[in-house]
Order: sequence, then structure tokens, then C-alpha cells
Amino acid sequence: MEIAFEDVSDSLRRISLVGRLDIVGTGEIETRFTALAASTAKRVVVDLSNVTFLASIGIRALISVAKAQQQRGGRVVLVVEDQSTVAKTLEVTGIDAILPMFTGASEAEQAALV
Amino acid sequence: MTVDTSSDGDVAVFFIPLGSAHFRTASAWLVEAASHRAVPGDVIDRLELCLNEALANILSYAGPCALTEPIGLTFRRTVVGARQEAIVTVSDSGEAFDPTTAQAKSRPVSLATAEPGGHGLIIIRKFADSLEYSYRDHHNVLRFGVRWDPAT
Repeated sequence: MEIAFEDVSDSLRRISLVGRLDIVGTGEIETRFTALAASTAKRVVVDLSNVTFLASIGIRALISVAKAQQQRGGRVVLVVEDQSTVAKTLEVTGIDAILPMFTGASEAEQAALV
Repeated sequence: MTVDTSSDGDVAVFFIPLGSAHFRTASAWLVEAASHRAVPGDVIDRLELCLNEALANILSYAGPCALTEPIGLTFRRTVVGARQEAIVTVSDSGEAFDPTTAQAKSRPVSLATAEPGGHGLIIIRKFADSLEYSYRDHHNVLRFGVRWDPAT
């Protein structure tokens, strides 16, 4: 599992995840992901378009950082590949109703800044 | 380390020790077994998600008695009426846990009230077209299947 980030501006951070967010993959990135996504108040775009597998433990990590960010006054939005199994997993679990999902990075960044 | 594997026609059998380190081995076996039997990719994706969550449930709920025997996995492709079905059966020696009746989390209404965990049961129930559980001979036996039209 790979994780990378870019600070697009002082208030906006883009985090890209690559690989499988199963129990192994989530364990590999969870500490760094939490530090990058929730340690300071920011608008955060989490790019899942190169995540090939999303298990419930990965959803747990996403919700945890989004809740922490919300409590700090920030916001987390997601980028997913359209019609992907990852997108469907987020839809059937209802996560799309509480974490905004977009298929384009620029659209997600605009929404994160609202 | 896998304990054993076999394959015969439309059925493949595999065993893994209990532990998160073996989940990917199980996934790889499933993908290979299903691909070899011409199961569509989207069906395999759904089966793989269900298998991952089923194994995670065993890890969470089965207790130490689940460590006494390897987890048995069986893949089978079959026909249900006019449709095809790929079925995975997961057997473990842990404490009884029925994913078909255990209470699943309700859909979250807000981020503030959402609980981070507990989505595994929802994933299994939503992605599986058939789901059965039994407890026999001190073993949990969970069977889930995904169906598709042959033309697709």
C-alpha cells in the first residue's frame, strides 16, 4: 500500500492512496494516513482512484479521519473511479451519504473548499 | 502458509491458518479459482469482498478455538435456473457466529453520528446474492454466492 500527499495550498491537502485497503494494506498506512489527514484542520481530498480493493477496515479508517477532521473544523472528500467496486462498496454501506464522493480531482478540490 | 489445496472440475478447495497475514493468500486463491472457471471479473470482485469480510469476522468473533484447525475454503461454480452462480463456503472451528442474523449497523445519517466500524456485515449482505449459515459438528459454515446471467 502506498500513500503520498501534496499540499495544494495552505488549507487544502491531497492524499493519494494506491493499492489494497484490506486489513494488511490499511495497517501499512493507517498511522501515516491519520497523521496526514487529521492532525491539523484542513480541507482534505483523499484520492482512492488507484485503490483496487476496499474492505470494511479501510472504510473504518476513512470515517475515523473524516470525523477527526470535522471535529477540528476541516472536511474530507473522496475521489473514486466511476462505477468501480470501490465506489460501489462506499455506496452500499451508505458512506457516500456522509463523505462526498467525486470522480474528478478538480471537482473534489472545489467541493472540499466549500 | 497454506495447508492444502485441491481442484477438481467446478470445485476448488483451500485451507489457510487463521490470521490476517493469510487473507491475501485466500483472495489470490479465490481469484485464481474463479478466473480459471471463467467467472466474470465483477462477480469475482464481489466474492472477494465477501470472503475478506467473512475472514475478518472469524478473526474478530471466533475466539481461540478457531486456532485449533485451519479455515476451510471451497469454491464452486454451479447453475441456478437460467443463471450461473459462483459459491464460496467458509468453514471454521471457532465459536458460533451467524452473519446472516447478527445485527448490522444501520446506514449512517451523518458523519458526526457515524460509527467507524461494523460495515463488514453490510458488505456481505449487499454483495452476495445468496447467503446461508449453519453450525454443525462444532464448525461455523458460511456459504455465499454471486449470480450472473450467462450472456453477460
